[in-house]
Amino acid sequence: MLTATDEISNLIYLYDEHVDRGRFADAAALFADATVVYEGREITTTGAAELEAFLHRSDRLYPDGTPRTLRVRTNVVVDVDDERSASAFSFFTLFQEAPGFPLQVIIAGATRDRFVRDDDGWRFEARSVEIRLTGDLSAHSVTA
Amino acid sequence: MTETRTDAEQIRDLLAAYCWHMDRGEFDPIDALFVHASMGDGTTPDGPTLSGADEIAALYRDGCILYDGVPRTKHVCTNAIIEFHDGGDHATSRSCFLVEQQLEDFPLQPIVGGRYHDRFERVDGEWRFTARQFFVDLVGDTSRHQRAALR
Repeated sequence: MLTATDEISNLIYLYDEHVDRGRFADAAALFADATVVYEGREITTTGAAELEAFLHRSDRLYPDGTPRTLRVRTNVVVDVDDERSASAFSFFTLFQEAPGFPLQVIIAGATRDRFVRDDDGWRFEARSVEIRLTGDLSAHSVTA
Repeated sequence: MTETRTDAEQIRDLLAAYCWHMDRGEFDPIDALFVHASMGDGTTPDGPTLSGADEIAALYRDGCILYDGVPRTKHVCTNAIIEFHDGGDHATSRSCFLVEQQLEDFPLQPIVGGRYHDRFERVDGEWRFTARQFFVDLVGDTSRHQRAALR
């Protein structure tokens, strides 16, 4: 069955899946009790509504209802402190293909997460996103 | 020293084995991976479903372009969300794939990305594929990898 590390990895991948499928409300709901900090961009969201609003600003949606992206998440290292607390870091590489925009890598970054566990299972407590490598964001960012 | 692989690790090993053998043009091991499985395009659920090693092997042997025996690709399979069902002898996985390719006259580039929705069962202590649905989401230049256009 699933270890704590598996359950936490699943949460990280579930967020990526929701965003790539354009399910921003579902993605944001995973952070209902969490803050998300985008390092170097002076952006912090707290709770689901703020994160969902940020996603609608940061990820342009196409007629198929998705941002036409793939979040390739690698180098996931999970550190379980005890049965109530854990942290993780991981890398993500964001690929995009959209009408008139050939398939290419557009962002590479790193993510640090903190998790807490209660009777309902593991959930995000805090996330910090570091983006240092960016490519052509013209088909991605709503505000670019 | 005996090392016990967890169930989730064994399922990740199956996902990785597919990539390993695909990129080496080793289709016999691919047959073996899917001998008990069906396969179909998840974006056309009413479309044809392949089942059994022969039909699935034909998909790869007929569709994949080889150069000196290998496709000159790297299949990167990540983001596997693994869940267990029915007391633990059945499992599902939803993962991402991204294929990169390079040839002498074709610069290194991503050529296709998408998702796999897989089902597994454990029989006699061994996990195996029972179904794969693939979803091709992002399409680049697949002209040097697949004989048929993906879109």
